[in-house]
Amino acid sequence: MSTAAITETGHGHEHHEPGFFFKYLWSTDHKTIGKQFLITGLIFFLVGGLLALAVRWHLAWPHSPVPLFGEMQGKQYNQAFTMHASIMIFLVIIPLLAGAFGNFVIPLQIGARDMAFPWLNAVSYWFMWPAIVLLVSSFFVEGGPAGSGWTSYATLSLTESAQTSKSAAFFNGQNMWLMGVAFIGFSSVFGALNYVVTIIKMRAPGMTLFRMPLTIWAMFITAILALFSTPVLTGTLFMQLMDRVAGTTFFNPGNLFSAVTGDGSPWRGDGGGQVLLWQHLFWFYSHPAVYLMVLPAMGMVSDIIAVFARKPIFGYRPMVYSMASIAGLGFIVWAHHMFQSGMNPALGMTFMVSTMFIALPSAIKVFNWLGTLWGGNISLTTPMLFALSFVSMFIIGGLSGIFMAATPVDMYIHDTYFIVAHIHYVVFCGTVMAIFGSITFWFPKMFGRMMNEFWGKIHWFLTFVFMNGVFFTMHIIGIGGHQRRIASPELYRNLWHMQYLNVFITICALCLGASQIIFIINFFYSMFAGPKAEQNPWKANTLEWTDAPSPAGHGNFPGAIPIVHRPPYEYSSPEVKEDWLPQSSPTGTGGPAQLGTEQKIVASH
Amino acid sequence: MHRASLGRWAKVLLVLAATGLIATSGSGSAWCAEKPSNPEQFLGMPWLPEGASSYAKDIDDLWDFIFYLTGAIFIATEGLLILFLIKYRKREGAKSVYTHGNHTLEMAWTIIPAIILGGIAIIQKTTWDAIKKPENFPSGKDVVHIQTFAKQFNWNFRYAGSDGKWGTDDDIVLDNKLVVPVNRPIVMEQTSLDVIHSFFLPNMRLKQDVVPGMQIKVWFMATKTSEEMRKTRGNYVKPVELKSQEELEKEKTTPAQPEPWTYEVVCAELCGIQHGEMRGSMEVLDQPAYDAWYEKASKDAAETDLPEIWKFWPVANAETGDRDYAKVKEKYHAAKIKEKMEREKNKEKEE
Repeated sequence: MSTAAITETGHGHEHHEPGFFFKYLWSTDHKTIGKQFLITGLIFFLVGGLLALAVRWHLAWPHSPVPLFGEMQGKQYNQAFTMHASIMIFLVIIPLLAGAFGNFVIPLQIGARDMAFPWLNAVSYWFMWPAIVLLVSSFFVEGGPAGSGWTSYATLSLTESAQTSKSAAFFNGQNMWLMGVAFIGFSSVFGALNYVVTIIKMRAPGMTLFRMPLTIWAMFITAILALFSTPVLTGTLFMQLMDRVAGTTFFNPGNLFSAVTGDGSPWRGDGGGQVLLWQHLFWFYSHPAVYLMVLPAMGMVSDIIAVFARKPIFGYRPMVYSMASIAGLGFIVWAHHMFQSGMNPALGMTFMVSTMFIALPSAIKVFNWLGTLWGGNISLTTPMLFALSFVSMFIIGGLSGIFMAATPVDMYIHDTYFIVAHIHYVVFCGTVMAIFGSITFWFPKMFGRMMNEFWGKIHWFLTFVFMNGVFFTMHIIGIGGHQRRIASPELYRNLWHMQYLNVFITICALCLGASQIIFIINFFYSMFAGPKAEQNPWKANTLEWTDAPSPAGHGNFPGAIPIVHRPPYEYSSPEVKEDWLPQSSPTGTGGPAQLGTEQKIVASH
Repeated sequence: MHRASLGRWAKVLLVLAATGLIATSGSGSAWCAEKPSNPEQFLGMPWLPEGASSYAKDIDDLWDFIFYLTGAIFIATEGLLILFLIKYRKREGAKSVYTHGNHTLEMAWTIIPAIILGGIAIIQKTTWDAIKKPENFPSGKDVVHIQTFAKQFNWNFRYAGSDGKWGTDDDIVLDNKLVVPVNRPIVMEQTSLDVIHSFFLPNMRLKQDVVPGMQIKVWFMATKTSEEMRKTRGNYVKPVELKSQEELEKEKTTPAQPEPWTYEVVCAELCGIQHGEMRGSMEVLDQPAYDAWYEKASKDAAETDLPEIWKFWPVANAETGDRDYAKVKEKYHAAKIKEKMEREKNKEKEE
């Protein structure tokens, strides 16, 4: 099977011009699919960002209507932050990291002509669309979109539609949310399966596992993580859907006194379900999902830092092992989201210990990045600035995590803005910075043109300043006791003295949003009118730069598949005069590697 | 390439950002010039509100320990990062140090953080166990038992009343208001009638989700009465951003009355469209004042009719507070369904 797939891809570059449909829409070329994911992700980044600004506006000035959004009450507020989080996580971060960069970079960096299953790859992109249609159209159904948080805790989520709409139509916000997220799950499993097979079976000759760039390792580990955890989410979503439409009671303890029905009659069902079961199942996926949202970023940042520090990655193997242990430990820390949920307090200790230890591999990674910078020859290009922001912001996100890992401290800060700050330091200040960096870094390979360096730096600077204004201040109001997800800060007298910080956050958030206009213009202008890129503008070692043209054409490598002679980060090697030594260059002492069977097959083509 | 111009730009922007930060924090302090209701500050920024329970100090000590530890790590790592960026900035034609790592260093920065993290795990165990494990809860005559029934969107509390028995006429029932004595352990048995809520007392450092279908116990012991707390802090002052148009209009004729400080009872878990409005207050009284209040409230309760729903709420064992909750709810619901069916029957008849 796998041999067949490989043989087929080897032949994959017959010369025929595909029409518009096959070229841009139903393309099976991994690079086009990567770009599709990229553009889709960026569009929804804008949508999710606007929703966040609406939420912020309401918190700063609760009595003035939100521009573009109108009057905001508790219901609209809940819906806005629910959809902000759902869109950002399911339609932006996961598709951008795994979908866009995984697709684009994996075959190029391992020296393959395409994915193992190109058709499945296209399916994985197009399975996003039912989700997009469901989530977007849920804004227009009666009662509006889901409003029970992206965590969708039972039993609130079970009663959700009844609260927001009178008619119990099947296509209500919460049902559409459940189905939409399930489709994202399918999309992500198809993608993950493809990545695992591609990385295992289709590496270029000489590309041993420990010669893979860290981006590939990160994508590989992430894909395995997604394969094991996403089916749990899909099952869980269907259980909730059944609870809502078919009268099952997985999460319904029964006899709920209900504001829903108004007259105090019980809300659907005899019960027997367990409310906490939802949280256990949901976090069993969603905690690993946090690593889905950060591991690929770690890999890409490692690549960028090595290139612009002109230095081999410090501790390549510890980097790989720490990513693997993050993934492994990621499966046994889920209940740290549930310390105050009412689960047995004895479990609190268990999950606290595992959570403390998952901080360890992250710390090792940070030290190794610092080690890579030590003694380097660092040029602060735009991708490098973003990658360094990832490292420095990830330190903050990691350290604030220790507060909530300590269960007694978590008792106070759980469900406050401290948590909101923490998650945004990891996902926005961390991952989104890595995404911006990676876009600028691989842009020449994607579109054959360079992005504007000057405006790139301005965009970096403004983003860096304002995001810290937004998210660092959230730590402070969190410490002051500002709980999250409240639509009416004016009612909480203990928060009144902190309102000026809420206003400050909102102003910073608005400026942060406005700064992204620079990026949008730079992105699209450079795509069509930027200066033409050389094949290897960054003088990087990995195959996509040294052996594929910019932009890479169909089949990726114009000639034969390159043969890999050495590890990916041989910068400033004493073997050569230049400060870089490509993986595919036969110079130097590292002779050609022993070829495995499957690699011989590829090489013979 | 753009280095010179970028340097100048960066400086201008940096100065602007710094001015902005100083201006906002300055205006912030001006805002609170009246004496903020929560005077606790750190570097001029709001800080943990004063802890006022027996275990608040343990939690705050742990907080401080982690804060200074992570603060030190933060300064060290970010400092090194910036130092390296300056020291090893690009020099044309130079080459980097060619190294792939250092085994001793890797071992050091694996083992030392592991010990630190393991240490944090161990030192917090006693605090956590003492607060959350039911077998460590205070018991005996001194303990005040209170039941919590959370529902969208109120906190309902019930006390046994003067006769010490649950489910009798003199049970005290409070809505969004909690009254407790100082320096006596309070054990609360909590359940929710509809969705998950979270019982959060910021000054007590207590938080516990209140879950439908589960009865979860929490305990705390207040160490400062509301009166004592009020002495050290000002009244609440509503900032202008939070005032509605009507309030602003009204203030033109009658100045706003100051609101005295109280302990807050907060719902910390998203519980529906009015989640933000689910708040109550707590009054901590000294023993004589509490006794007087308790007697009076119990007497008043015996004389007034309870809201209907309370009658169906379960009677608990006075010692432990345990009760067969589901059964009683069933009874309540059965009655409700019967009522509803009768209503519908009548309707049909009318038609």
